Amino acid sequence: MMTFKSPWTWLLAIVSLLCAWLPLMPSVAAFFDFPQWLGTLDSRLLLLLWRSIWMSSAAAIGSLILGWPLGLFLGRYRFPLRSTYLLFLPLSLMLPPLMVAQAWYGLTGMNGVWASVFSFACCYAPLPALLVIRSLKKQSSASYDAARMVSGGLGLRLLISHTRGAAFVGAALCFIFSIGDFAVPDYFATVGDLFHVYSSEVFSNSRNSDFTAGAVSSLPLIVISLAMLLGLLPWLKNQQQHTSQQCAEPHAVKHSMSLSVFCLGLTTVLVFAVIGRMYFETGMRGPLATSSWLQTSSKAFSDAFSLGRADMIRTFQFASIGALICMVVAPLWAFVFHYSSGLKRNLLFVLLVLPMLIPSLSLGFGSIVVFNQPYLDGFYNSIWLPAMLIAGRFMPIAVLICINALGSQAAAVDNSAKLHGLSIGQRVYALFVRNNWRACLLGGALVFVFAMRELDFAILLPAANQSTAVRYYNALHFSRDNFVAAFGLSICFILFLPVMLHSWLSKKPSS
Amino acid sequence: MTHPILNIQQLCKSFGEQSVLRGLDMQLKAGQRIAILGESGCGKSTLLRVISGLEEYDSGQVTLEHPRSCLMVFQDLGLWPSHTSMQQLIMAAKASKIDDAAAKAERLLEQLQISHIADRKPATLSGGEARRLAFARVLICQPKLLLLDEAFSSLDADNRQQGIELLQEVLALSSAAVIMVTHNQDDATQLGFPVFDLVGGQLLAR
Repeated sequence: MMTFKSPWTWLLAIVSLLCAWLPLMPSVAAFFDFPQWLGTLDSRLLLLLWRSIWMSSAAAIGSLILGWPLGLFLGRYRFPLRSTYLLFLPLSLMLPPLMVAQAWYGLTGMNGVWASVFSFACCYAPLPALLVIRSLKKQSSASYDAARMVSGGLGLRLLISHTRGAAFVGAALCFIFSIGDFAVPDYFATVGDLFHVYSSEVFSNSRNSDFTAGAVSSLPLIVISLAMLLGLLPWLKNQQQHTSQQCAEPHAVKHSMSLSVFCLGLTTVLVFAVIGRMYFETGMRGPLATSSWLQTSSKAFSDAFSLGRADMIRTFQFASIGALICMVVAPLWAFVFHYSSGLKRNLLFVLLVLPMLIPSLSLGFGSIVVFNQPYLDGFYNSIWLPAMLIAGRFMPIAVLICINALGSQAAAVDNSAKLHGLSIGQRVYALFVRNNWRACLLGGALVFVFAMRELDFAILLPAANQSTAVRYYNALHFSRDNFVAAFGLSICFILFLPVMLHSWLSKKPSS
Repeated sequence: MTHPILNIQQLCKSFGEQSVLRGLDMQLKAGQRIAILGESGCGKSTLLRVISGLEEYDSGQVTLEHPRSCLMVFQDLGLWPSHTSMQQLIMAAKASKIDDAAAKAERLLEQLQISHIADRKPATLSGGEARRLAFARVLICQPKLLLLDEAFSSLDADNRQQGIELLQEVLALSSAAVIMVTHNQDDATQLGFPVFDLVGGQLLAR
């Protein structure tokens, strides 16, 4: 489809090389030490790996328990406040996991392994919920209505079987994100009983300046996550085959108030409780304080904006550039995937997702090794380097959204363009992007959101040190609770803006 | 006038275990128009997709005299959703390096009696208007070979009759060779096309 003569192939290759594959090279080179590293694998490490696997599995099951029913109800039924819950649902995905952990610790005093599991389940429950909602939009109206006419129970059974794939994909993503996270278990281990997970081992290996040990010890996590993602590919392909029928719309239901209360309960667990607790913490005072809660809270927000403004602006800059790069390149990647199959498709998939699966610290170290050169001094200290790394790391998110949008488009649209001799640039940008700009915008918005949350390589890279995530991390470690809460909420508000924008734009009729 | 513009020899194509085209031979001369009949799933659409280059084949040979001049009207038309009728025609014409695209597009819309939809996007068109636009978009490119994939299968009896009349109108404006696949013999009979059956992965003349 895209040959080496095409300038678009070169654009794709150059952007991917600079943003993703070059910073990965040192880590990939370190993987060759894996056999040697295997020799150092002792029972302690195996125990940590096993603990990480079962914790992440439990978190994935938790995300299913919370997210699947929420997605089913919001996606299929009409009831009071449904659109409000729909609007706030993605917010829980925007909340940094550390903030969720902090809020639940403040609310309940929970700690230890199960507190981590609960926090991860809350953080990522919107993934199965949102994917279930999306999958319901593609459910055949005829088959659903036919089942409902037989009995309500059959209709519900059909809903469950139709959304099973989407829900499991969301849970699998929860597993992948949880197994690589060290900050949440580290937080709960600090405030309660001490315990370790495998990602803490990778983190400490990387921070002990032994780059090879850090990179190579992350390999088991990468392999587990990659296997899970490759397992998701057939589902993605399957989704693309069920798009041409007339689709079922959400409908009214008998017990609408009960449903609304149930969804309010779940949304409270996922979002409102966390936001409420953090807001409460902005005004918390020490025993000797003379100011009121309101005064303390106002001062905390004022400090957050005055001290964090420069960090926010700089993060905003590199996150925006990274998101823009993704918005330009992701549709091209989606086309390459769409028209490839078999081994080639799987290999491309591995190349694409590897930067997201590799620990962020390894990516940070790798970019230092590659780009910290005397002749690249200006570039190394500019916002372009973090922007490029953001684009390389989070590109798969935007690409997966574009693949899905491309699959939902009638095949004849692109086939007719191809037969008419339109260039690949025209097919991608004049037809696909123009027709699916909301999907591209959503991809860019999600990259922006993840960029704002990115901590690990931001700590390492001088050009990214001045960022919101680093400021938050430092303040948390210096126990400036009011500031942390106010700053965290301010970041959330900024992260939530693109979602609100997307939600607002989605309500506009198609032009 | 008698040289073949399409030559297919021993064409084989299978999907996994299922073999749909088994050593199919076919020739089509310039301006020749034929209909291919067959049951659902017998490989009619696959044959068109192979001829147009949208589908790879397993073995055999497919030779098109003008590979860039073979266009298809799809069952669901494949109109470009974000472009107006005029934009679709101009874009298609420019891609085929047709001079004076705008004037030709205007003339074609007029000939097919759809000038009033020039500034409208596909979502706002009626079924009949959309079908006329799909034909206009291929006609402006002056194809040498036109492939029609179940062009009327989604229409009821009244609209099917209108569709056939439209196709006769359209074909009068073009000298293209035509391969029409359908599962309805009446379509082929009304158009007066010679009919071939696709049975067991091979074409049989009636």
